[in-house]
Amino acid sequence: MPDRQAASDAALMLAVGRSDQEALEEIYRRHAGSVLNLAARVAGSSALAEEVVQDVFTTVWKSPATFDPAKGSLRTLLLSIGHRRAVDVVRSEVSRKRREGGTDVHSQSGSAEGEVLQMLQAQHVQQAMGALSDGERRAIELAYFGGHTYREVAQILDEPEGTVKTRIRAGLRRLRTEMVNAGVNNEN
Amino acid sequence: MRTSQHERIQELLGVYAADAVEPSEAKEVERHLQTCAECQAEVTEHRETLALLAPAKSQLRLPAFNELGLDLSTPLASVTPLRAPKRTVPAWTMSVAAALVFLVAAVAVTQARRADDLSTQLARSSTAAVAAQALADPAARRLTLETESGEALADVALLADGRGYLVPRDLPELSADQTYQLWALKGPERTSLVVAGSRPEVLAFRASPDIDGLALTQEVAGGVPQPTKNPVAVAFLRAA
Repeated sequence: MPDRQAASDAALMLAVGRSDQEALEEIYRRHAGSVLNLAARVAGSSALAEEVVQDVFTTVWKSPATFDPAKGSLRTLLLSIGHRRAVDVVRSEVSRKRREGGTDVHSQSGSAEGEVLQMLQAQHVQQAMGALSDGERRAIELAYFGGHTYREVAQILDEPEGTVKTRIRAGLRRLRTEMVNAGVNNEN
Repeated sequence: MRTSQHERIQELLGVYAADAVEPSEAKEVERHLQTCAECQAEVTEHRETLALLAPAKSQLRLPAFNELGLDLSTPLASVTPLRAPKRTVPAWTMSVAAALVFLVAAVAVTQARRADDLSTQLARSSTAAVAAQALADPAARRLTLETESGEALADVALLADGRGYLVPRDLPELSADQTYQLWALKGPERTSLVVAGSRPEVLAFRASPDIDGLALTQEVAGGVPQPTKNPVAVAFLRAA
């Protein structure tokens, strides 16, 4: 594959399917930063986030058919896998600390490292989030960035579980509309 | 009845896409998604939206690619070869070697031709389309996983570069706590190729080109590191 830097994400994934390591490296150059940032935001730890990144790219290398262009962009796939892994990390840490009687890892968002890991969202995302109601925004942030289940979110916000489910779904739809109108997408 | 279940699942799609459901709920949603294109499309949309929320900037240093420590030297070893202790090897694994004696050798293939025009392939790059293409490829090794009574349960295409595709024909649906699992047979080794789920669709996997055959077993959901059951279907090949 002669010109990887000019290739589309999908073309690179086809090359990965042929065990082209340089194609994987180009995908890493394009998207690993986003995966690292998201994982760090969720897991509250840069070290854990690096493990997530390693896991994501190992998955892509070993199972390139995981990517199906009909089911979304490569960036979305990588972030979805990374988010899932980061959430698993958070929940296993929560379970471990609860067993040990320690503090909840979710509270790390207020830790020193959590402060360092404060991420800057793009302006268009901030604007789109601004279109949400407070309830929708808080529910999405707690679930997606906090790694909480909707049941935990309901407890935190002291809201019925059904309300939280509805707010997250409606909020995501509203966000999509806002970002589509702003011409924002995940395509390479 | 279906409508009420569909509506109940719909309510979970947002939190499912955000990985904010309990594991049991996630499995329930995933089962529904296999048969509901409408809900699958909604989940895809939610995930695209959530991906846009990923933080754009941070003070984190991204490790260099070669610092990751990825094992890229043996890309075909997508799973660790399993050397089952003798006492745990099911009896069928012994009969496999004997059965090989009676098998027709599969056609050896050279490296399959690969079109450099990736954009052309991209149009057909869904797993099912690629699998169909592989099955039709005269350079691919084609196998049929058959039961002991000769019933064909699935087709398999193996490409010279290690890619393989499992294409179910008539695989009975299993209960949710079970899964089909495909194994590579190589001498005494049984290597897991893919955990196919309770209702397999077309799946891709990687396999070393020098395997002796394939076996399909029914295992507990999530798969197992080595086969615990006799295979429901097997296929054999030997490079000529």
